[in-house]
Amino acid sequence: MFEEKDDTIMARWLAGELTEAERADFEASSEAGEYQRLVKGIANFEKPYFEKEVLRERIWKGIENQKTTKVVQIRPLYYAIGIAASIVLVFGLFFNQVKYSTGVGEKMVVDLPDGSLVHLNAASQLTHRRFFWKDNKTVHLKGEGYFAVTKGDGFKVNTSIGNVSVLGTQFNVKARKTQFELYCYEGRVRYENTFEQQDVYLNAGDAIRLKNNILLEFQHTDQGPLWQNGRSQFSNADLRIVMNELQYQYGISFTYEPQLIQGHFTGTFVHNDLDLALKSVFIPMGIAYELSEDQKTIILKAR
Amino acid sequence: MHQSEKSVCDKRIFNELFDLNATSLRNYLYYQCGDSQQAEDLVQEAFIKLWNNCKKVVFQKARGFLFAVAKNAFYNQVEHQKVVLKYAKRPQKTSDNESPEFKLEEKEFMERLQKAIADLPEGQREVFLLNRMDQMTYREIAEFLGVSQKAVEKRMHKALIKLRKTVKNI
Repeated sequence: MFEEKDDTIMARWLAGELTEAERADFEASSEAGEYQRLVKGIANFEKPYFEKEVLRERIWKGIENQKTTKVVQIRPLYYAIGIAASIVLVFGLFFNQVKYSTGVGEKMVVDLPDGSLVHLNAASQLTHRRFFWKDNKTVHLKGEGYFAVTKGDGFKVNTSIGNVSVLGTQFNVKARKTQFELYCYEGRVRYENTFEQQDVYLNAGDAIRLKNNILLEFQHTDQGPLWQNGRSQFSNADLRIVMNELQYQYGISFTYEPQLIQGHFTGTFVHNDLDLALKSVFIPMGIAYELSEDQKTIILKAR
Repeated sequence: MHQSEKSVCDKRIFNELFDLNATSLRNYLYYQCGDSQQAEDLVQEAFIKLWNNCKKVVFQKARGFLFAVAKNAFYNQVEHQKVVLKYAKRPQKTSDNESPEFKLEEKEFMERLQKAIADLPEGQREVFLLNRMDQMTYREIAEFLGVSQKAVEKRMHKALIKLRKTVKNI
């Protein structure tokens, strides 16, 4: 049979690639009519109906629709958002500070997360980290504060002048602009100033004072800071420091001749009576004073 | 390497690839699965995959990529239907002066042929239909399927013989 001549001959016939001789053989074969009818019949079949543009549109729509969920293209943006969020979170967790401050004449008790109490004297500021504070119990103090620290490790008070670290104890830290005092009432605290290479341990009854960066150690018999009872106590203190403290408690200012302010003051003044406070400081020092009309300015004069 | 600068990620180039390949891919899939909806879904899926991988696929390889993806997706689908081609209902030119018996015979012949095509083995059917319906040459089909031209001709040869015999014997 013609169709069995070789294994591609019918394909070549259909494509019109037969030689003259092959074609003649085909025409003469018995299957020729059947094949011709077959090919004619096939020509009646329709090409499968296909709306190309509809499919094109569908594809672009499909691509658009997946964009919101497609990871590949958006990943860099997600990374960026993720990193930004992490930075914000880290800043939020580690740099977010809680701040307590007292104005002139104010006092405040701060209850710390570990149960420790801090009594803030006037014009003072206490800050600490908002989150994970218990992992690193450090507070920053500007001004004066009396600390009653719950037993536990690593409580630290940082000031611009030096750092105090403690183990379950009560102490008073006074870190005003130029003045630093630390009174220990219970337990044991450590004062440390790496810059000045000072490192002192204080037991109950011990106290230190820094004067022109010179560390002075002394004893006291107080049970707690007197300012907590509405008084400020001084022992051989520079008069300027006493006047500063008056300013913190009463919000007043002084006008005076510089040479007038000399000497040291030992004693106390009350926080709730300006006239009485002024009397207790300036009469012993031999200085006359006058209140301005608005009671905010004190004019100091030699007696 | 001038040609490789044609980025598939370029919308214009992507549309060009669609124009070049959509019809043949769709028909090829149709000849395989016999369901135009399924074929078009497969084409859509393949083109979307191409777009998503546009950075990794160079222009010249896009066609191969499309076919590989579509074929794999097709084989992963469970439902395969018989390919049933529609034939034109218009009367044949010669039918005017032919007897009603002949007309009936013609109709029956077409139905037989339709069934015979559906019964062809897959490899033969796709070659046969790409050649007859899409007017692709053997060389084009060979390139299209990634086989030798000789292999295409062998399949075509077998398909014709099988069709002749099947139509005759039904």
